[in-house]
Amino acid sequence: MDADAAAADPLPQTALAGPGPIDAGAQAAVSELYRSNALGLMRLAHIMLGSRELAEDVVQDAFCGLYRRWGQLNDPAKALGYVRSSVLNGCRSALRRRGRPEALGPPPEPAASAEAAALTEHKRREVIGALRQLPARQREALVLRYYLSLSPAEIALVMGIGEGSVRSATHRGLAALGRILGEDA
Amino acid sequence: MSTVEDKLRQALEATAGEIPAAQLPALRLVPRAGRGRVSGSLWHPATLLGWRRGRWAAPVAAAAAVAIVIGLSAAIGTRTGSHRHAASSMLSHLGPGTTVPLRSAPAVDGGAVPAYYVVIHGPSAAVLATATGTVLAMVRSAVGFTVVSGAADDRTFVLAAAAKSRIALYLLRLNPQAGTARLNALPIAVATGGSLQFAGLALSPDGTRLAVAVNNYSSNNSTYGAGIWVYDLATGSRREWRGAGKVSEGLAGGPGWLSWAADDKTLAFDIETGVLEAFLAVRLLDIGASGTNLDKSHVVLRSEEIRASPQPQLESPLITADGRTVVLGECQVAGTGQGPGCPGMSGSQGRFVPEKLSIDEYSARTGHRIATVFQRRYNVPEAQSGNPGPPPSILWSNPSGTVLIVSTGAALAAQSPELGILRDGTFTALRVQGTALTGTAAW
Repeated sequence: MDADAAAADPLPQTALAGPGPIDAGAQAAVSELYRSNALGLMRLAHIMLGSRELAEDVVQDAFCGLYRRWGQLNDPAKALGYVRSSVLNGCRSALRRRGRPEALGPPPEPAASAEAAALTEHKRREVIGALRQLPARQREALVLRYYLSLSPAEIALVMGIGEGSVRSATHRGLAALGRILGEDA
Repeated sequence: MSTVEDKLRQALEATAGEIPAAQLPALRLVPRAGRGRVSGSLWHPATLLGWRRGRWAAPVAAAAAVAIVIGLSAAIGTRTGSHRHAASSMLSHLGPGTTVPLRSAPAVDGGAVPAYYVVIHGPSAAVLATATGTVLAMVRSAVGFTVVSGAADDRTFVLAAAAKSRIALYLLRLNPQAGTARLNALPIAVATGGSLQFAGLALSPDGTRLAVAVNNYSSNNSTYGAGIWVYDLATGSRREWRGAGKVSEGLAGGPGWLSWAADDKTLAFDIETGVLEAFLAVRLLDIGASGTNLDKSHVVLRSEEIRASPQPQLESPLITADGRTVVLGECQVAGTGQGPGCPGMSGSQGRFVPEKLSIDEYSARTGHRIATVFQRRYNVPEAQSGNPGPPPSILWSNPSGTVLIVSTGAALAAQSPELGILRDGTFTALRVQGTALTGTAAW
């Protein structure tokens, strides 16, 4: 396994309970987790990567990894956290390979929500462009906080850092974003 | 909520909305390229090999693919006793792509020489039989192929096509048993354009890696920086080396002068250095070693250190599969007279008349010349007229360098290059159909 692959597999060794049989229950559980969370995770990866296809790959990889490790999970309730971390690590690996997120593509289909429609396409690109200029940790913390609406504790778990670091990264990220956009955070 | 937080939240929502819920793909581990289905359990780990739609393979898929290659390599190596790796199982996750009929080719020298080769011909690539020169299959890309490189299994080739600011790469797989040749787009594109120039490529013998040479030209000081990128074809990961000078592009739009030893780790290349890149150094890069500096790679020989006056021009170095020998073409000019010099010569060297062409073997370890395996004299009147013709090119070597496929270059006995097998100093011409092949063919 290469470095990128290793980085994309965030399950800490302490969470392993040793090899276990993979049964039909695992398939059902992973499928259900995918059904209820894949769209959000794919959108998260799309925000991070700027590529729908790469996002799809990263999420598929994450669920494949979860399935392979299902029998080794101590606590299936932690599966969502595991797969979130996998997606985030997959995004990091993809960015390392590619160097930086892709430029925003052509204008999308009409936005689904009124909230999204409230922001003009130009401003959206400006904000996303500014977000992509931030250091990775700040960018990830902001996306997890303001897109997935995770708590600092949940973000800390996903990113594998302390809660204090999450707060600091969020605060600094917002401040930096404000500076880039020419506004106060 | 601050203004920035508001805008961020809205921008994230809008960007996320680019993936509508209706477009959520099903979780499945079967190939989707071509929308074909693979039989068997969707969840069986073996099907991971087939999932990727032609993009980066999952780590487990990469590991499995490499394991298969190693197994087949060992089997085939035992059977033939030669430098024949099996690349045929690599990248089986790619979709069906374009499949065309392939006629089978007769063996050459009992299998000691590859039976198939690929020639770039306009926008198409032709698969030919080495023994007869017969076209066995043709594949085409929309933008046209430019260069080709082959693995050691005589079945696997990578084709490059220049498209705008990138080089698109394709995998061509021959399956004589099934009577098909299949072309797939590889999930790798080499960005070029601007100051970055594509210089060549070489597929590793086992077909698992692709070395790509690039040059970065600085208009500020009119100098080049050389780069070699080695892609892992299973994962898409890339490792880079950089150094001073310029990697030779090769002549006639050829695939450059990169070549691999059978260990799949030693890569031979050459760097042009000095004013107007007049000197050439043949180097060996160990891609298994740490570091990213091309300048620290092993120097086999430098053209300026060859004891001849004037010094010969070196062409198309190729490392033999056993890694012990570097074979290269040489163009030796006469010391006096007016003439165009060897092909590609410029500046003051142009006053020389090309005198002889040779193919020589050097020790990869010491850089000492071992033998001259082929030699011809130029047709001097023709050379003086301003058309020296192309130099010799080494196109394929057996493991020890005792059997070569070469293009002789234009020389006394021929008005145009000849393609043939060189063994024990004896040149046997191969039948060729179509236009000149120098630099555009790969075995």
